[in-house]
Amino acid sequence: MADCIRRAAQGEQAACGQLYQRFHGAVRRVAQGSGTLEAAEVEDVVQETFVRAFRELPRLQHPRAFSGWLLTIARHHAYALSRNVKARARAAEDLAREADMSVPALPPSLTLERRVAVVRALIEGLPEGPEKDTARLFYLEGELSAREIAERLGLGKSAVTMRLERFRARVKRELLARLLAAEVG
Amino acid sequence: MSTSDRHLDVESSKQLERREPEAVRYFAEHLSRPCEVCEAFLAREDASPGEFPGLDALTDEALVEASGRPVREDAVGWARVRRNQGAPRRAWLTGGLGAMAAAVVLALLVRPGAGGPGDVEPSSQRIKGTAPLALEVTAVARLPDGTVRAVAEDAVVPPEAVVLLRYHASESADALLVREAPGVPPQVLGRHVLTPGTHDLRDGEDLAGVSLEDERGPVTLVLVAWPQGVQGDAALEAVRVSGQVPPDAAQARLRLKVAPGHAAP
Repeated sequence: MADCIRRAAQGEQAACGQLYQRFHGAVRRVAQGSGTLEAAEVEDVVQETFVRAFRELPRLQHPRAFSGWLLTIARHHAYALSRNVKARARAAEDLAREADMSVPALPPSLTLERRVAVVRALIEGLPEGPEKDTARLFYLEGELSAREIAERLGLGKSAVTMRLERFRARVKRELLARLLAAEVG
Repeated sequence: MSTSDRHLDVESSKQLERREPEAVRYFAEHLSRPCEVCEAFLAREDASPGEFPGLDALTDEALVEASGRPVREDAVGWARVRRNQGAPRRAWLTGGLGAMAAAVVLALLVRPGAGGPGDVEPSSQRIKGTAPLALEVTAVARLPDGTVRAVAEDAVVPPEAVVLLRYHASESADALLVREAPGVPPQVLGRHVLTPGTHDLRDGEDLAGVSLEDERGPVTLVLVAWPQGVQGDAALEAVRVSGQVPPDAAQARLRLKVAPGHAAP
């Protein structure tokens, strides 16, 4: 993957294509987490994310930061299309910043495999109810968009988006705790 | 406020950014348990840029990987990205020679045969030579809703479509895919290696889709191919340097008309 990222940074289209095919699903899921985005807008986020990423890829210093960096760009673009004024303002500010990002040295407790296990365990640990259903449908089954989940569960789109954001914050809290614990040693 | 009442806020996030040992120790322990106040702080939309650097990325990576669902190939999306990247794909043509070579190649390509309505044109034309390379193309159009329709010669297709080509070649060949449209210079879209038989035109492992986004009116896709052989590298070098395609090149053309409002070809 690191070699593919380096070749893409040099403009090799085949390598860009490989990266697109590997990551378009992840980028789309980030955009689909916003219940305010129509399906066409989700595709716009995917487009804009990859176009921007390929343009700025030569500035990415660490290939191992690629996926996180790409998803961060996707989240910013999704915010930019959001109806929420605060979110749009934040996205404009974030997108104006340098594209590179810091790459924290990851402790063993934060490998991707361990982080995925954290997500699954947190979903399992939720009490039965609409909050758990929403997180399970979106993050574990991974097929429906936030809008589609809202329709299936008979909820408002904003309610689903809010639940997904709340669950995401729970994951952030758990991962931040692990980052800090690794520093304490 | 007692120590146990402390929650994440702007001040404590700055302490953590400065790696103040007491704050790091406290929040490592405090955040290891659910805390609605801290989670609300982490979820807020007006977080300052750079707060907890890398945490959003670590989180999103984990969340999108949690389902473990296989990712389907997305030729339509990739074709749109490639198109939105702007430049025609001429990575194999280097430096200033690229544009010149592309223009000369197309001077050879634009041959009589793009006739008017009713003209019958074979799908494969040899330019000249005595060892014919049989070459034919067919196409389908993929629409954003995922439907796939066959595309006939002179079909009307919507700009949202991505055209995927399928070729039949009688032998291994080097090929160029070229786009022609009235009033604009021909554009080399890519270089491909053809294998004998009938196959999808691919770009590495991906289908080589041609996005029609922003197109209007007539567009012709031309596949030009010449046999691979002992002169293969020399032939490619000749194209790169002078734009001269080998004399035994064959071409197959597909004429389309791009018009908005057509939901399907």
